[in-house]
Amino acid sequence: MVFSSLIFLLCFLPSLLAVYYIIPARFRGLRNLILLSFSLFFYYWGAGKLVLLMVLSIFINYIGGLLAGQHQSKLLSRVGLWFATVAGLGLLGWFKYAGFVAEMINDLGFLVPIPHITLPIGISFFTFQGLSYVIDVYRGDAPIQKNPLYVALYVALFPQLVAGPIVRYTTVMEEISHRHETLEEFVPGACRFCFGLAKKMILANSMGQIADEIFGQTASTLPPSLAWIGALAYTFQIYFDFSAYSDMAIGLGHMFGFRFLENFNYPYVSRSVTEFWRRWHISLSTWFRDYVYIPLGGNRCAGWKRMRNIFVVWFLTGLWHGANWTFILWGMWFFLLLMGEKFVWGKWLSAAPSLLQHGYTMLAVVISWVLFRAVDLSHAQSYLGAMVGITSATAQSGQSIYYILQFLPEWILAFVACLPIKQWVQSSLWQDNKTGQLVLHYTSRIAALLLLMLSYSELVTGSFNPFIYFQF
Amino acid sequence: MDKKKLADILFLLGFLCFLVAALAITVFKPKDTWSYYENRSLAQLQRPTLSSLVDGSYTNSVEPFLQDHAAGRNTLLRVNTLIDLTLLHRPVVNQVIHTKEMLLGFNPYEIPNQTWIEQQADYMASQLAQLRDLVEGYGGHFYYVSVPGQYTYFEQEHPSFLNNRSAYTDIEIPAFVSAMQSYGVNLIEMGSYLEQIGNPPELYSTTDYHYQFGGAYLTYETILDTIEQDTGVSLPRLAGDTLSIQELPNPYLGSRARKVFGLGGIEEHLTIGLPTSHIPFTRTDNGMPSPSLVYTLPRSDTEEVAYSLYMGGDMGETVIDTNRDTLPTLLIYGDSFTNPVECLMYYSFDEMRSIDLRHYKDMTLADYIQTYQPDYVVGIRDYEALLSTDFNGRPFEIQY
Repeated sequence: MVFSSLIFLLCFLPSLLAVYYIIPARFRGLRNLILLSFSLFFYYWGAGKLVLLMVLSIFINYIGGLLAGQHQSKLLSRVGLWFATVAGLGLLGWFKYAGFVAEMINDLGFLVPIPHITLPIGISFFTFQGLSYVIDVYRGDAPIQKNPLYVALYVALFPQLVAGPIVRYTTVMEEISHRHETLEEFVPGACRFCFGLAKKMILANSMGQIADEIFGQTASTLPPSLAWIGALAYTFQIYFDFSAYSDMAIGLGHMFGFRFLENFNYPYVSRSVTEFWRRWHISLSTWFRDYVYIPLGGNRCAGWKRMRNIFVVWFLTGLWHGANWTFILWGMWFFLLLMGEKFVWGKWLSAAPSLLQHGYTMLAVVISWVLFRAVDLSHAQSYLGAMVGITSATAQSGQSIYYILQFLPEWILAFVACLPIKQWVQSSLWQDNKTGQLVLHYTSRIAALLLLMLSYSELVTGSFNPFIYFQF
Repeated sequence: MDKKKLADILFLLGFLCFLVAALAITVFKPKDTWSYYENRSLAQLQRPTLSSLVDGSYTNSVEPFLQDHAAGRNTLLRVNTLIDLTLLHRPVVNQVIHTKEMLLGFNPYEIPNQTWIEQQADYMASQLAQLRDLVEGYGGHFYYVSVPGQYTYFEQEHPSFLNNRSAYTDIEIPAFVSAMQSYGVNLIEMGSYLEQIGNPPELYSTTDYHYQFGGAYLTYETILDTIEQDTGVSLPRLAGDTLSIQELPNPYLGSRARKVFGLGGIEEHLTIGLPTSHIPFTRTDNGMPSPSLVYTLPRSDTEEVAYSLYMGGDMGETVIDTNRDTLPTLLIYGDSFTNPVECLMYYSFDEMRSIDLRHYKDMTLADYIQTYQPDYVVGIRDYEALLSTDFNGRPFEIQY
């Protein structure tokens, strides 16, 4: 099930709210059970029988956690950690990478059958989330959760289940058993949900339509203008799609008393790629930092080892996104840029005019999204070629004008929505003005309701509604 | 009460009321099965079974059902269309290009493949040559008529950045004409006739893909002229004193206008042509007796009319028998471009059979011809369908 669907908006959410809030808050266990049951149903609705795989993943992490927390026996503790890691990553590897690996083996000349496996939605997210619990318990950062239903609730909690943010166990462990749902939490959460839904329905879907239509054409025939429009549209789509999902997840979390950490912080205003990665998919970068980069030695080692650590992180980041060389190349592209900023042009960049900094960052990011979106390496190569004019350009050039004029309102809105306007308004215009704050408060509530209605209208009347991050 | 808290309570009430009201209306409102303006069946809810619940096919069917039956859907579709047309001025709304004078269909961008087009033209011509051989085998005559669609007729009316398919048409028509010539099949290429008279705009619809009555009448005349030239047979025809032409006062809801819910602001009326002296005839549709009419006229002057006014719309098989044994018989086949021509053509023949292979599945076109052996067989297809092997482009097979 996706948030931007009528089944979620009209059936799932109202039913859950009714059943959940009819139970008095003192029956926390019962409320959690309701939340878990609905979360499993939420997953079942999109994944069908693969819900059993998620239950297996929960079981692995529960057992792994129980063992990993036996600090009096180091062996047992390690067994728990390795059991959860090998089993969890094993499942991820089989379901997500087996076909890719088999294809590679075939390419090397060794004929092996290529398995055709249905990718369970959100497997990368719930695998990493489960591992976070076991590792935190192993490290002693979190206590063992002996109640299997609470481990299940942590892994399967529907707001972040299929597309993140990757919530660390330490972030929500207290809230699972001792949270307080209040009006002051619920309303901003619902507002955030409405804003996220509108971002998805109005901006991400329109940009996605443009990107899909342009990327769906033969790349070598695209005139440069059209190739750039496609790349920019995808740049907007992936941001609005993914950040909208995070907005909705964070908002829904608030509605049920959970506080998830922010996952995006206006990444397209970054002045360097390093800054971009501090603002983009924050929960994934911090996961890799804490569970891969630092255990490998992080910054505290010799130059080449440090470089190796960064390489490993970016190789894995690319691979995490998908079983395709394009994702690995995408990770390597960022590895090179980050290395370059760290060791080669970082100082020059920080002294450059602001416009140049933004231009450089966005150019690097747009190119990265072309690698990310391309079907394979040759498609990526042709598409990037088209962007710089290496093209036969037989596609009708009027398309560029069409995609601009047809989606002009969405283009304008997309540019504006990338900027931290809300923060500017909050911090500069009405910082010390009580009336202003009240106006802002009312305006945001009214806007949220209007956006909910607009999103409903889009849901009812539109049919173009894919979510990008489900494939990860 | 704290003013911020009041705002929060009001928001909460609005939020919950909206969701609950939308759900309640969606669940309890009567469920339609057909969307008139979208011209399609609405999704229906599957009956859940164990296997559909396990394989996910049931869950996949729920969202389209909810979308099609959601509270306020028709109103929201209209409002969205109105906003797109009048406020946002999108060049294309609901796949319709909205210009000051007309509503045109949006053609996806394409790179015409000349080799494929030429091969396909040759293939279609070879099929038609076989059909011609079949007809001539029992002494009949075969004619094939190609007619421009709205996008070709109003090629220049498209905004320059949108695809008017001229690149495709410029390859398609010469290739088809040449292929038909090489196989010796009689082709009446209406595009060239229309061009000779300067493509008068009134001959084609400004709100529909098809021609107007004028375009259909010219096609009818050209077919009869060609038959007369080829065979020396002079058929009675609706023209001059024998034809009474009337423009209906009713608003015409062409397929393009329908897609934008009649909000396109382009007014158009349909025209009909009736014999001044009535020719009695019987009519059957799909083997069942039908009223002896060729136009489905509206009950009042204000009722909207559609292209289905002509012959009552697309039918699998229609037979009109005028019981004038001295005249020859005719079979006319093709897509909906045949309909207004049929409204005139029955007048010139003893019996007129009409089949549309999109709906007729009893036998192949070739078998039908062999069974009834009409004196004249006329196929009519538009430029868009000319090279398509779907249904009316597949004379030797039944396509389901």
